[in-house]
Amino acid sequence: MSASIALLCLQATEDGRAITEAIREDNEGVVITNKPAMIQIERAERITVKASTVSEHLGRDWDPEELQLVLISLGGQVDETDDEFIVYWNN
Amino acid sequence: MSANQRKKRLNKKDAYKYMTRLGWNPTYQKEEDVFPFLEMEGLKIHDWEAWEDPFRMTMDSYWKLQAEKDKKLYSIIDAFAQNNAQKNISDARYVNALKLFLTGVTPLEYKVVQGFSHAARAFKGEGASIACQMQAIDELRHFQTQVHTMSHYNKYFDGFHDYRTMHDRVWYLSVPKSFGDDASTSGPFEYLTAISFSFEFVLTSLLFVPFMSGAAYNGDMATVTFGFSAQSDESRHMTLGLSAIKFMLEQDADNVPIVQKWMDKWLWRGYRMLGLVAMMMDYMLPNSPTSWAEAVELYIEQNCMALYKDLEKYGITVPEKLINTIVAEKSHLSHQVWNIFYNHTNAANIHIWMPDENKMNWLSEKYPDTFDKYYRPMFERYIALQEKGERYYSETLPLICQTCQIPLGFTDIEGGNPHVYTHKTSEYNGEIFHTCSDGCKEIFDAQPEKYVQSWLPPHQIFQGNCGGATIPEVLKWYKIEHGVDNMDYIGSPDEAMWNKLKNK
Repeated sequence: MSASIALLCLQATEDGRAITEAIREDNEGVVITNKPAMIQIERAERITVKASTVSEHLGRDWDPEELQLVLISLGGQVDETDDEFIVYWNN
Repeated sequence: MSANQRKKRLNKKDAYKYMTRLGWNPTYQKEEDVFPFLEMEGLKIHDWEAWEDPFRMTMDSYWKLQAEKDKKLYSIIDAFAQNNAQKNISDARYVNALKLFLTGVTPLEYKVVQGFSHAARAFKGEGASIACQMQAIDELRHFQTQVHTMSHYNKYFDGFHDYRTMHDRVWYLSVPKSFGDDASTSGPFEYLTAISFSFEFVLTSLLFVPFMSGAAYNGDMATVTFGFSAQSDESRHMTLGLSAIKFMLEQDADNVPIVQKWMDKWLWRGYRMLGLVAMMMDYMLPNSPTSWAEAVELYIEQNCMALYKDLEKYGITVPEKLINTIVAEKSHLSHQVWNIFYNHTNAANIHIWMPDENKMNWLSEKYPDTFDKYYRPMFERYIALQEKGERYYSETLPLICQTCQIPLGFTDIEGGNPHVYTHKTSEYNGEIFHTCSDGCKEIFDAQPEKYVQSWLPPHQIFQGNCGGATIPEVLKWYKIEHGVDNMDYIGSPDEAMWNKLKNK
């Protein structure tokens, strides 16, 4: 069977778009779809959101817990630390 | 531009440890007296420390983030009201989807405040307790923000005025109400399986995403905003659900069959309740972004399967029988529920209408195998009768399912008899009990002593507990004003208000 797809749905806001760009940079093969008011982000097995990359895109210090302000939905398990937010499947 | 150096502080892992592990072992009282619900469900827990919140959320972060979310939401609610944005919705028929939400879903948000507060107290592990406490506060926020948002519509449209009484009394609202009551009268572990796992993780996308994308497609900015604000909490709740399930499964192999039984039960309970959402998506939204069948394909056939696959290693199996029924019914469900409402809208707190030609064509396109064959002819007949002045309203009470409390209006799709109603019976203590499906019958048969106590609206009316035996008396008891809150949309005060707002 094919790998399960890890999923993040973010609000299409200024912060949401910057986070999406950081995800695009750090996650090879990620599929990003723009939906009404929402950005859908899918990748096989795992998506990593790195605080350092998001901070560069936003031009300010960004903490992974701020992801919750723009998060609509997710698919997978979560691991959050000071440096990154990971959503993944363990299949 | 490089980010500024952070202030020195504890890292997230240590902060989570120091700020959440604040419990102690009781010495003055026996443990089973302090935590009386821990063993009653038969689950074996050996190490509560193994429970960790993957978000590693602590109270200081929690207040900060939630305050930020509310600030954003209320600035939009204010803007919505200041700009008379009720005039920008696609059509006033849409408002009935909000009435359904306010009377069906919003009181459930409040119900789960109680449920999670109870679970937080019942668990011995601090990680589990704190996650449940945060969810209880989240749900209170959802309840309040939903009421605040929809109160704007109450200024212009009927049926919003007494949502609490309606939730407790109106016949079809016993479907969501009994779902909440069933969950909150379970033990704490079953409660978490029911709400956190089956509802939040497996089914929430079938509830919130259709309502919110429906709102977005019908010009309702305020509802989109509270929906997204609530969804940002749901991601944490979904994660709690998955952590809870894994924790129970990892603690002891004996837990697996118990958890499997709950997962199956609550998948089916949730699915039956979402029949109301199916109808909302396909019939109540003037502009429908997706059909119920498409939502089932995405959220049940794809996402739900990935989730079960993730749990296979613990010995959990896909409830194939239930999934097969859900998939078989996907092209019939919304039409059958709308038909039930059409026949009983004289006793409902929402307005009903028959789809116009555009909508019928959309339904034909989305349901090529079923709509033209079974449902379009029935609805065209209703329209013809209506035009002759013979609009039919049922004056009798339906037989409803002892488990899900939906009238027995579903038919035998899987058996190849779409024109025959399904009807199961069970005997308990010399009495016959009626259910709508194998799924509901199995739930009844597993715990008949619980479900024989169900508060069934038709039975209660006949027993004289609902204001009287006639529809006007019962409506009065429901706090529904006849000719204002109920009946067809065409000719309603809502329609007159809409024409006035749009200067028609």
